[in-house]
Amino acid sequence: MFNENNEKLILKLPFGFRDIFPVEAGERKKIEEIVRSEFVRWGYGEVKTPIVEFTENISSGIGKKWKDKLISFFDIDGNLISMRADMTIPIARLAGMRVKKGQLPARFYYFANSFRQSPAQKGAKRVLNQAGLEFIGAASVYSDVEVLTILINILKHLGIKDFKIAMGHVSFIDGICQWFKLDIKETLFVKENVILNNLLSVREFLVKKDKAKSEIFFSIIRPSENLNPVLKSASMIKEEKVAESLKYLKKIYKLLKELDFEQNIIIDLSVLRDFDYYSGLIFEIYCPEVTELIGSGGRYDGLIKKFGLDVPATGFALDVDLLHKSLGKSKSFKNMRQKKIILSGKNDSFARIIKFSDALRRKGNIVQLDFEKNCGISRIPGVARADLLYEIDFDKGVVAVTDAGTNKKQLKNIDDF
Amino acid sequence: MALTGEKNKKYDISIAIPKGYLFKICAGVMEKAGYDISSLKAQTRKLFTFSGKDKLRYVVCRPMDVPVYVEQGACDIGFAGKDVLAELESNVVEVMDLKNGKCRIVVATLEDCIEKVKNKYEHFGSVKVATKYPNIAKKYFDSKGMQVEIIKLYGSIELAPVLGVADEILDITATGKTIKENNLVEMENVMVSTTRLISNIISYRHKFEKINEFIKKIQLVVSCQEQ
Repeated sequence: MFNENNEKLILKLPFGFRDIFPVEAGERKKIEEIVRSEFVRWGYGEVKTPIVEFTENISSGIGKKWKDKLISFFDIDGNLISMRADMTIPIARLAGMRVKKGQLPARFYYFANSFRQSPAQKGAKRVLNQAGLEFIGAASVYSDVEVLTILINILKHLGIKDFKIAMGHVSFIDGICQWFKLDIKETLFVKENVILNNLLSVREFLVKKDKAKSEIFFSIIRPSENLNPVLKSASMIKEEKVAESLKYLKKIYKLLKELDFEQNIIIDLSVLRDFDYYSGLIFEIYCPEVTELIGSGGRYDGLIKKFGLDVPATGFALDVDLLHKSLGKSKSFKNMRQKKIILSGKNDSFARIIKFSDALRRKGNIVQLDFEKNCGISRIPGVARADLLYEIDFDKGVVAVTDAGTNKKQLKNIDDF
Repeated sequence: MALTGEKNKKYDISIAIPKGYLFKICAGVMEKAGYDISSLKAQTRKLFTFSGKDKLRYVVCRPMDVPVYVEQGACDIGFAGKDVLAELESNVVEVMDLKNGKCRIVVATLEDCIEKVKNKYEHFGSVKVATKYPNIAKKYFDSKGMQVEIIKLYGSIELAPVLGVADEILDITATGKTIKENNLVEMENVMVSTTRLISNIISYRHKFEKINEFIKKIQLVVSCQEQ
């Protein structure tokens, strides 16, 4: 019917972007439905924000290195604008701009694409499909536990096996730096290297400062399935920020344990993210099937203040691409198909065919019209194959029904439908 | 990883081991730590082998690929030179310095050309540097505020100044012998590189117990060697 692609024409996409076909889009939709229903059940409301923001706004609160990762361009009036690199900052901006203190707490969720530069030679993707929530105006440990519970519920409902949430606290490293009496530059060096997981350089650096203290520090800063050994080793550190951060983690851990979530929790005080806005609890989500972070989150009490509303907040974001990968051929995707009928007839009675097909659709069928006589020749992956072929003949008042699986043909009266 | 679908895994941890001069060092350390490396020693063309006893999988690959395999999660841990890690800036956890396989990255030029290169930089405002570490070179010269043209080569970097491809080279050397043999002199030390044990960031947290057991055994060998 159509010419094959012109062979001389080679189309390209900017690297890091791609198309999504019906199989994947359908499965993602299913994931979104599961995630959305959990968000909604906890009383969260969906927000959408523009894809672009002023670079000035979007850069307040992200780490130094992140500024290079923004995809930016000039607006027609010469202002620099950037595509959003996550949803937390746009939602903080939205809260600062549109929400009044009396309306708090506000519970928002989102499904959105965010955009980040990535080195071309690594060929990494530049678009992130995220699902997440932000709980604005709640300072207590209970709001963090609410957020974590929603997160764990979602991962469980999706059927992701053996996932782990590694929890840390931003103030811990700050406290440690004070304990070692580091100056601002040295503190920055330590934090940067912890973010980069370059613990070896941190060790080399701290051993020179104080060998005994560094031994204690490195006995703490490792993944642990239980909080108690961490607390025990850390009891030797008499430093306010360290003690406070651990006290906070202890409260959360206790509640999560009561909720029977402990098998999914790891304590890891080396968890730090290169977003400057995190201020307290911080966590990352891993799953053995996927070798990247499937999500992360934490508390960011100072961020919204930058947009004019001084309120605490907490939240998380999940990477829908990676959630999808971690599910593989999970049961979540079964029973997704509805019965599909391909309906054909004489084109001079086309209006009648449409009316007839609509009646079938109201009964819950998928009905695809075939007025070009090419049903089932070729199909795009993910567009369901037909289960039944109907050939309608209004003159005779019959429908020839062919079962696409068995190829058995049967004549039925129109009135029977 | 998602595609391999390994159902009946024969191993707990997968280890990336570099070919070349680091191979002997890494295999030696692992042997001393009590791991069964007989399958590694057997000179086969297999790209990966197993140690059934220790439940390990060994993946032998090019040194530059080790951090990539580990970053991408094909291997949980691996041995890599600091030079390679600095060049690739891979997102992995550096867990241990093996303190062996020591090399230096240096800037060198032809013996009788030091003055010439200097003049050239002042006159033309740029010099050509041949290297197989373009990323390290860029960062190093940027940090000095020097403007250079970087030429990426895949081997025999020492040839570049001799043949006039470049004015200077930025290359790795263990003893400095090759550099001298090619009538080059070291001008600056860029960094010292030793072998590092690295881990995938997810595996490090997800399989910490098993990885830590490996780290501890290797650490013991390394500490003994130091003394």
